[in-house]
Amino acid sequence: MEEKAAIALLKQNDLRGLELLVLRYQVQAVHTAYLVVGDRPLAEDIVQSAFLRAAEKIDQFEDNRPFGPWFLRIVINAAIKASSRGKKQVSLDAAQEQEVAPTWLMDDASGPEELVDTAETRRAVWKALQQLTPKQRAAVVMRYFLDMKDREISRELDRPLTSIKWSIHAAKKRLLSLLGPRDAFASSAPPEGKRERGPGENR
Amino acid sequence: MSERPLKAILRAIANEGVPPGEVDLWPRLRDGLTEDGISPRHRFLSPARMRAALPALIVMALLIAVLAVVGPDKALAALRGLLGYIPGIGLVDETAGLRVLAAPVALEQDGITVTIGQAVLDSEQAVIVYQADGIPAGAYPRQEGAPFCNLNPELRLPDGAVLQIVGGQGGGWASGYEWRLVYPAIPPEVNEATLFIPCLFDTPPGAAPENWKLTLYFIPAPPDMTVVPVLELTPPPEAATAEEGGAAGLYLERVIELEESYILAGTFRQGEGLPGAVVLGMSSWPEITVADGQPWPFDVPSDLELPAHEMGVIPWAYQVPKGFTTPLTLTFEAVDVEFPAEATFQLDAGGDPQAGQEWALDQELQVAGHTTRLVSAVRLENGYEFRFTSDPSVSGLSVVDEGNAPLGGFGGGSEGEFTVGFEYAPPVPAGVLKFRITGLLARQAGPWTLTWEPPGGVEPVAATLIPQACLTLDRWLQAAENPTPPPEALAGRLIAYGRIRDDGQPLSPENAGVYVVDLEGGERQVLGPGTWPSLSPDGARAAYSWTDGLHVADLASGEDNFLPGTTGGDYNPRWSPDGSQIAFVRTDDLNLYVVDADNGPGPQRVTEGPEYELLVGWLPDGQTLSYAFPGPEGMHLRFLDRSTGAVRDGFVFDSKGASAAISPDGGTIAFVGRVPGRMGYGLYLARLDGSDRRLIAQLDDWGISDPVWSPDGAWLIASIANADVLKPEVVPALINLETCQAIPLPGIEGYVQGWGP
Repeated sequence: MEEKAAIALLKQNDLRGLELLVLRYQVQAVHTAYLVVGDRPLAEDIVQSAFLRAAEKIDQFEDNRPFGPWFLRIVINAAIKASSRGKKQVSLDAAQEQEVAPTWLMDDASGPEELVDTAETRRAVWKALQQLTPKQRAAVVMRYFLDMKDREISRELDRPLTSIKWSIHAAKKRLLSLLGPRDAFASSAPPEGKRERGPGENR
Repeated sequence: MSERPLKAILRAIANEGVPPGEVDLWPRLRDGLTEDGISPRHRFLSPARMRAALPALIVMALLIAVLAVVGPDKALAALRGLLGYIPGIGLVDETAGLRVLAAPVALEQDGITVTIGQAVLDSEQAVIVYQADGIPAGAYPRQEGAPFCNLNPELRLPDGAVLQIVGGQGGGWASGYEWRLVYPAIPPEVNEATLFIPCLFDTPPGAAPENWKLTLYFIPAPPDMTVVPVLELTPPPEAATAEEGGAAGLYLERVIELEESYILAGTFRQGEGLPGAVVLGMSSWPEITVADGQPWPFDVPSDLELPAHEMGVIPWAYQVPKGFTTPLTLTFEAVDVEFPAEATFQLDAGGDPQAGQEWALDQELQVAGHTTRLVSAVRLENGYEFRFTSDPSVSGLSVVDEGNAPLGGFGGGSEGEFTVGFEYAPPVPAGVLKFRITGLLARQAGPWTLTWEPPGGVEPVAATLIPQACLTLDRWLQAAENPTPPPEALAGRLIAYGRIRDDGQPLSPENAGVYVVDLEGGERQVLGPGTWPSLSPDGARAAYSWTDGLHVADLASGEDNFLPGTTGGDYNPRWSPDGSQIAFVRTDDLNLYVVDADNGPGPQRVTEGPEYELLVGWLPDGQTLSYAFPGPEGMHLRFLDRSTGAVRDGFVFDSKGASAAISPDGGTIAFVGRVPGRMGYGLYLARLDGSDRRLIAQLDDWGISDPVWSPDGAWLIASIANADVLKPEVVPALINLETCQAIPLPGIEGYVQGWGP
């Protein structure tokens, strides 16, 4: 059954439509929520509620739009709400709210290009994700897992575009330092969140 | 960092945490639905959470019952009328009464104090405000990647039920943090709970006391407890959804009147003005003005959780101080909209395209009324990327691959210039590839305005007005457009961290370092790689930070000496007024140290507090060090007399860093702090006790940082950058403190850190 047909069925209150949408999107949605909240049962709860919410609001949904992005936005917003801060925020929030991102930090090419997917890398990335606030985590997930554009993320998270760019690049910086930075600055970096920003580091 | 490997890693993490084959939501979801269709019988919680959620389910059932009797609109109004607001807690539902902490609870272990100062329970949730303070620097991980605590506190009920947090927010300072924790509702008959804190956030295992248990007792809220009523405004008939044919605009839905301010909350509704399109959000912060057109300060309340997005309905909430001349006008200049589009393009990639291969396409496309140009395509390792240009209001396109099933898409860019790309599982498709554009993301100009007059008028009260900056963005833009040369009377040498290698790449440690510039002649002396440069008072030597520790370089001879006893985590060296000593911050223990500048005795620690001291500089007496440390209220400025060890307080300023400098006469501090009512920061001057505060510069959302005094104290240099662009250029600016004349300093791409003779 096509997605459009499934939505049409759902609009007629036919559960077969919802079933198809669940089967089609449940894995991506649970994975998305899991990356934000870090807890599988909670992620499943969030997605189930999101499916319910989507079903309740399906009449507002335009048939000619893809269901996935619309639904995943619901999931992301619910995941942010459900997620608590996994860690106190100092450095990244300071980065969001004050001053300017350094040009080198804004440079997509400044990180390790040969990031290798190993168990150790995954652990490090997972740990780094947990160090972000829920909205920052969501921004990374939306940007890199769901391939959303910065401006779309900005709108969804209700934060200025600059803050989103900051969040993503600050998160990248943190990942960079966790994953074996090449530059000497990061290798001598003091604990994140406990240090002042300085020239050449993370101004 | 490459995006594609990261996506693969995220996917692998998700697959490990939730194996796709184990995801099967439909049976439980189906069981939760009525046989007639979608209406829910209950919320679909996992069994472990079901018990904790029972009170919420009961509320839901009551709500449904009320709806059935009086109809949805009236029920909504009736229920909403029982909402109240408690600052720091948020919205509370007084329907079934409120409960609060019988008394604050505190527990101290090893000098660390955990305090539960406030808790409010209503029929829908339990909000607990939890603070930890006194955490020593040594309790935090020393290295990135070290294990740390990220377990959430849980609420344990006497019957064994355990509640996990469902929301909240908070923040930290150097030695502690405060959280507002939101849990599911505690059943009304339960008046006791234990907050179990497995570990203090961010601390590694064993580094700080663990398994904190604080018993909380709840009592009915006293009758005199302040719960601010929430005024619910009936949405006008035109405030309908797009489907219902409503009008686009801003709608005020809730007003909360506090003693000195109002909180206004509402929505932007796109209505039927943009058929087929979806408003994704507001393009920027609003402008709030009062009767005379003057801007009025506002803030975003942090304890007010905005309702989840609905299609085309964007919630907002702002807090404004009282004392304005009515009416108050809230204006959004533009909204970001995704317009439906129908256009196609194709790429003939040939039979064997190679990674890195590029195609100049230069095709003009009409997309949703915008002329958009497909400039080029490039073959990536696992896919293709297309580059587009359009008018500046356009910031992206939604594109689908019609013939293949990509693993994912990516893209980004700034207004009028953006990319769209696809990644494929091998083999990457070749030949003629066809793509369809389905949407266009663009800024839709308004303005959208909302005018509001408080009920009964407003008695003028002392309000925090927006300080008027001497140097504004307009003035700076004019100065940057028509730069004047620095006055000839200005002399001396500047030391900067900035570009030393012109590789065409953005500024980075790869191409930046330390150099000295003569202000009169412009001659430049490059010292080499390094950070945190500082010029000695006589201008003859430079101290800087490097990976092995601190160095001192003689500018005349070029001789470079490592300062013995310093280590790789030492940074921000600052010369004493007589040039004999250098103060710096050691990140290993987060304290201030002083070292002899001439290879004398090794570093001596001068602070020992749990706070994280950020060095500001020396006072002219050569004995007093000024520093700042972050606390719950902001940055605390302090002064340490090294001869006596006495510490005196300066003042607290609203900032998250210590971008500050003491004037040469020791009487004034220049610092970067948040400007009330602006969503940005400004450069202030104040006396060392915080008095005579004067806002020198506020450049809207542009960044300004790193004030540096001229030797005569008449000028400042600050680093200015446009935060709105993806790769901002940092421009040092001379600012005359008397006239606020601003002069961009040419030839320095980076940050000026010192000004010497």
